[in-house]
Amino acid sequence: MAANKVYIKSIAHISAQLPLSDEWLSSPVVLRGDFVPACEPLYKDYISPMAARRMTPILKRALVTARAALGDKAVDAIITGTGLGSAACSEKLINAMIEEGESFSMPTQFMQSTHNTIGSLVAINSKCHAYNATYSQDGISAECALLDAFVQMKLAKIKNALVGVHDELPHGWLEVMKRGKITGNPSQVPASETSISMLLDTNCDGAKCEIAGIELAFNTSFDKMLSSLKGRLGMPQIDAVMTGKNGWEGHDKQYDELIDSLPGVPELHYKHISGESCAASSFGIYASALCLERGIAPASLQCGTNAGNTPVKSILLASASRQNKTLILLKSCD
Amino acid sequence: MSERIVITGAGIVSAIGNNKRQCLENLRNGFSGIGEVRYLPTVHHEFPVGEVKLSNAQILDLLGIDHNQVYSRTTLMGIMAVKEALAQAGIDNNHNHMTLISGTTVGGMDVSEQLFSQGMSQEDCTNCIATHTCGASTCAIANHFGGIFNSTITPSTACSSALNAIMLGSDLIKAGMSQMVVAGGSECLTLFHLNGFKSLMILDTQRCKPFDEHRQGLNLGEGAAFVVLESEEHAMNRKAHIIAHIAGYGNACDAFHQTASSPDGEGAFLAMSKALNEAHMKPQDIEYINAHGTGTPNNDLSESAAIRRLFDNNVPPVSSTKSFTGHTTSASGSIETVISLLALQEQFLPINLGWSTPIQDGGIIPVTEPRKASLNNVMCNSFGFGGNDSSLILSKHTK
Repeated sequence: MAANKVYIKSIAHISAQLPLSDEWLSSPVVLRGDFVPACEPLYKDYISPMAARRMTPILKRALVTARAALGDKAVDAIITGTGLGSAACSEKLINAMIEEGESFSMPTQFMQSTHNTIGSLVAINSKCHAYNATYSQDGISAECALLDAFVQMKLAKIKNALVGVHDELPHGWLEVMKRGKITGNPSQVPASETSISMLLDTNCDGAKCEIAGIELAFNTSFDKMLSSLKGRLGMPQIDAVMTGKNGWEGHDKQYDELIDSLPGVPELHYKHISGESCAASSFGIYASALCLERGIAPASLQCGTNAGNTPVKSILLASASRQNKTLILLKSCD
Repeated sequence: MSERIVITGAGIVSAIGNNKRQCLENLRNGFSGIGEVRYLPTVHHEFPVGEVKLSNAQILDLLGIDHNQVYSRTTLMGIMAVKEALAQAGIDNNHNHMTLISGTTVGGMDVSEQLFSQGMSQEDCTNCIATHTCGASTCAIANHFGGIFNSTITPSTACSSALNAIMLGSDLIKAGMSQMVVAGGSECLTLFHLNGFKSLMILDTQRCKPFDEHRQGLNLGEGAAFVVLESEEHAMNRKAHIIAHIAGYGNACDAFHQTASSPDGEGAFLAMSKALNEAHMKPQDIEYINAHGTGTPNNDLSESAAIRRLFDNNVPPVSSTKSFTGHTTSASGSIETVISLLALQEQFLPINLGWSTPIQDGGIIPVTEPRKASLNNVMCNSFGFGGNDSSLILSKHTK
């Protein structure tokens, strides 16, 4: 594979934590209850109130985080990951269909209900005619979007990309997901909403970290995936493993085989800070990038008793969703 | 090292047939699959649709699946098409390192709209979670094939989803991230998007007439299609029969409007230009274009403008096959890729059924009489809401 390296240059978030700020790393808002909605910024600072009125929350979050991550920079690709897409719109359409039967007419909601509405709106607003794609693979949508950007950079088809990962959780879906126990164990990890936009680049100037490798798998165990990743990357150093544990025993034990095959490597968590959603793993990428930029994993991300800053130069991020699993190896810049 | 990506298997399910043979026969004979709605439980019988001519129960029987398990029709049609593609490529259960990339947008909405309307019991919630999302419909296709697939990815760019799946699959192989990929898409009809398109007032109450002056809109269709992708070297090493190779592809964004295409077809023009560049071809190398040609006033005008910009006065034969299959939305990119493959293999031009009057102001004059043609390179266009435009070039395989 070509020698291009892939770096994360900037990241912006709107999530359960204070929006568009890295403050949560030192003093995170403690999340309580079974659902914590995203903490919204003042949109009028970013989008005209006229335009904002026509937008659902997920669209506003995507536009604002994209602008914060990108500034005025033109990119070679806009790639989006979303598990449920414009869930609020599709929920309204379903409810209308149940209440009114097939007589309803909701053109705007339908237009905004497709998953690619998010990425195309970002393109329309930045007048960007470049490559544009959207992936929807439940809780690993972020990794699928990242993989597309990563591969195109390795193939030297693009030099940079805006990768956005967005999920909103309207009431109806929240209820279905709670009853299906896929929102996290509310005693530890509430359901939430996450929007993350990040700028990837093959140039390392001012980068937060490098994306060294990505591994996607289906019906495969983490230890097999780790062997495969090590095979590709030649036994890389791993200073910490960040898992997507969400408090449900059945979900969390999937990570045990990974932790067992990395003896002595400290374990980090992030979902107590981000909450659980299809886009949550993008918060894990964000958290890892901040740790690598600073060279330390702060106490807020650590579990167990050895609270204190742990030095890190590489983090392995592990996510599991449905039968899919992913590993991403992130390294500090040389 | 050979970087050429080849196709070694293809499968298709659509309104004109449950496999390649049936679809080919109907394409050649000019038999459309569009008609009055029969399987979708809608009140809107005024809109003709391109339904796959099987009930879910019949598909379950065909596939030998237990009727007690809840499946989305998207998944069921996907399984049928993947099965045909794998069989042609000679893939059996001994293969275990394949990637499944299946584009969809409605995913399991057919099941969800049923469950929501019956009140969402606890069991309904479990079933909804198992089937609703785009990702879930892809996982369920992969599950049917035991251990063959070791990763699943779901592109969702509305009507260009399946073509983007083929593009990503090719890139993954080129980058050494996957050895073999099954790529395409699947989408069933749902009340959700039938009523959505009705809200947009772009459904024709007659059979659609792509590129015709009097076109009134599109007919929704459903179906699935997949191709097996691998490097030429990999195919040769395993002595697989190569059907065609993927010469180039391009993806660009119209960045104009959430649902409408720009008057000059900028996104479509860029996507086709990128595909030609990647294939190291000139416009005159393309001998047939399977157009997106939905039959809506806006798309066909915009696509005509883009084709004219790129091909100038040398527009190759063009047809939209949507008056056979209906607009199969997220699956259209791969359904029409397989139709283009059949054209390439059988050396014929599929016709643009239902066309009679040219669009004023430079519309495309499509192929209307079935005829043999010497085809080496064909282009397949697929455009989606949000201006997600993609174009693919397939070439006859030469050693």
